[in-house]
Amino acid sequence: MNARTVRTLLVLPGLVVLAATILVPMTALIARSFQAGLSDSAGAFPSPRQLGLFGKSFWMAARGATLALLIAMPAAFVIGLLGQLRKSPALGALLLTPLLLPPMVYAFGWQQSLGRSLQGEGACLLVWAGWAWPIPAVLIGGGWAKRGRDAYEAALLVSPRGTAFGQVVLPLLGRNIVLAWFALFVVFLTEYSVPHANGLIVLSTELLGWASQSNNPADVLIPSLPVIGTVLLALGLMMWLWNHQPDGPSEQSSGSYKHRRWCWWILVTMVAGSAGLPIGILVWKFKAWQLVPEAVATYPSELAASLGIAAISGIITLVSGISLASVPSVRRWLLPLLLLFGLLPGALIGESVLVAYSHVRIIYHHWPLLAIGCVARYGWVGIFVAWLAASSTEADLVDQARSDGASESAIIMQIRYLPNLALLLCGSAIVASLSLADAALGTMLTVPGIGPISAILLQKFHQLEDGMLVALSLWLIIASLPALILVWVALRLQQTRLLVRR
Amino acid sequence: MQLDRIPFVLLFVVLGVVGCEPPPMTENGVVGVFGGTGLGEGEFSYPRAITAAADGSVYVVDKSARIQRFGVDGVFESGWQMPKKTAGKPIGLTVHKDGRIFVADTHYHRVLVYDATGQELARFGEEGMGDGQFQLPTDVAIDDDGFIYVGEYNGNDRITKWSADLTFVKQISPPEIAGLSMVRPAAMDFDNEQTLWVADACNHRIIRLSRKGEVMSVFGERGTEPGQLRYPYDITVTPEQTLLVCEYGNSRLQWFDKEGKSLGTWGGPGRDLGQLWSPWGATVGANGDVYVVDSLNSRVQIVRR
Repeated sequence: MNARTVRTLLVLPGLVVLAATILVPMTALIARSFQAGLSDSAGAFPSPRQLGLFGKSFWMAARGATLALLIAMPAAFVIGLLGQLRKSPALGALLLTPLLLPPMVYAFGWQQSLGRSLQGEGACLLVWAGWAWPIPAVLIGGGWAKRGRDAYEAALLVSPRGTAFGQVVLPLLGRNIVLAWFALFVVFLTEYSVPHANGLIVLSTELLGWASQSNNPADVLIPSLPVIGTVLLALGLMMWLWNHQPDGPSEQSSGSYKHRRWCWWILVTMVAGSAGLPIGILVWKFKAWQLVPEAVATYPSELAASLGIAAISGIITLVSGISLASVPSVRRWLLPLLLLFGLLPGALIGESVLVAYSHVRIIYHHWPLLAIGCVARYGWVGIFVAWLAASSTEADLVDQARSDGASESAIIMQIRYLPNLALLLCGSAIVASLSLADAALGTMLTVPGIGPISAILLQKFHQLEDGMLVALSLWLIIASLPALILVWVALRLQQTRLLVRR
Repeated sequence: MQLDRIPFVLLFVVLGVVGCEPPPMTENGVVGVFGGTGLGEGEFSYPRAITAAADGSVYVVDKSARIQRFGVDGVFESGWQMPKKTAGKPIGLTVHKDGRIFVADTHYHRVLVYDATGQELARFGEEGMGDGQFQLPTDVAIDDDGFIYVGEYNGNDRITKWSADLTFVKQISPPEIAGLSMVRPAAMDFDNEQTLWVADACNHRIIRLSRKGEVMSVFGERGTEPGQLRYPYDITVTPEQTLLVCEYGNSRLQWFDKEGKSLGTWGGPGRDLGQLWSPWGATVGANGDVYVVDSLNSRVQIVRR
């Protein structure tokens, strides 16, 4: 088979998954909304109350993004000093830790330590910031490492520190800062579990309520329009910023980070404070290690099913990512589309999947319903990881293999992807962890007999079963550990390959 | 026609006539279903409690804080809205033999009393952990002498007794029962011996108490097998004096005798008729049929055993 045929065959599975998880649900949601018509509760445009909720969510997301950005600055600085993450697998795993753990667990932890009276907008913003600060830390710290430090040290020759930083570094990092802010903003705008855990009524929480109260998809689609528009705009801006970053040296010419142990201590302290502390309080206060067996005995089938569905979602996402990333032209426009779906409210994605498959019994009544939702939401991780794996392969190696007569399939599988197996598995595990923790999707796409643990966790929160809540939270944390270990392994292998090349 | 074939012809005619009669819906005993997702009359948004009146009507409350009244065949008759719903919605409904409806207005820490038309007649209780106060009341039971018993959870996890004029009498539930404190007494009902049966939901067990609060028996353990329980959220004493338990965690109904022996189960998780999805409540109607609140399917199924 020639190369084009191989690539065509390779992209087919990904296209099937894309159709099943995104295109069909999107189309079904829009079509059914038109078919059902506008209900008594939904007009052609969002109502004043819905717009007000959007405004409230917008303002909260903006403040949360700003707060997270400020909190991340020390971490960004030390990440810049330590150099690129590829040099430090442990650093990569450490920074991923707060992100992989379910954010509502942090909310529970702080409420248990500081009292359930600590709820409301302030608490929500703090939990968000404590959960998501690694995002701006990596984006800004990476820019600092790549371009900022050399420029800073050069400017120090002729200027004081403040002037050097303000007039030389900040303009260089401006795009990174704005990119980081928008990334946080869109994540917080549609995030459901933390506002819900803090008793807030925002658009994402109300969307879920409207979805469960109505048979008319328009009741979810219409109020979501401002969010969809905002996310689209933000995503477009982020893509532009990413593609227009100033060039800089690809390798950090710093000294060894081994002499900057204080940088490590800062990062460890930040992770411990933002993630370890609320979880530790939760575990210690309830002696959660004694309660986990009780939770496992009470929900054996639900825990097993949640793990199984999350693992399957991770595998499907990985396979479809490899498939779609194999063709660069497909990858270029697909990644933004998948990212868009990943950023939309969980209630909207859940509603679209329900509408698409409500008449397909084998899906609607069984676990594939939830798996489809998870793949729709986190498909971008699969294609992103596959793209990273493919782009890490040296072009010379591929050309050499072609001249030696290697087939296209051998080049794709054995040269591009097999050496990056750890990275690919890492992506799969990350999708599984995110799927396990997704409360909005779990609540929307639950099926009889299979209660996703994220949805059960919320039930326990509402029913004030604190012991079971803590035990299930600890179980979720334990379930996230394989992803962190795989991150470390993948980065370690990348680091080894870099050293070998040198 | 040969004479010896006439009986067969007659047989076929009879069978044909009989066969034309539409058989009752016999999907696992379901003889009716009503509801559906929505906020309209006769629709539900996650129904959570049900009770049956002596005249055959049933009342259902859902998460939109509406109480709706239906006829014996599930036809919507009337409804009304709870006065407050922002903090949460009721999870307990009980009909007094005089027709009054007692609503455990859970997240407002009180019990409201209505007549059959939805006119509020009285309310009692306030938030707190002392005498005359409630923390998240779950259900109300009424004995033959008119005394009112209210179950609560969230720290209180107790049963208190009130007089017919809605005056606090005392707490009747003991602090420990068979070595465990009650955790979420989700539902209660009296039998013909005037003993109180309590669904101790988070301990996955059923408790029998005298009206003075003496523990008479306890049965149940966590599990999915017949005879085991997983989050019993409702209990009803049937006219046959068996115990009908609605298991939220196992998505089924289970019957027990008073010794705790399982008499059978019904349901199981699913969306089809004859299946349940996280049911919150069940009751026995005046005609003997069982009405089960199939919560996540947003409907009520009528079951005839």
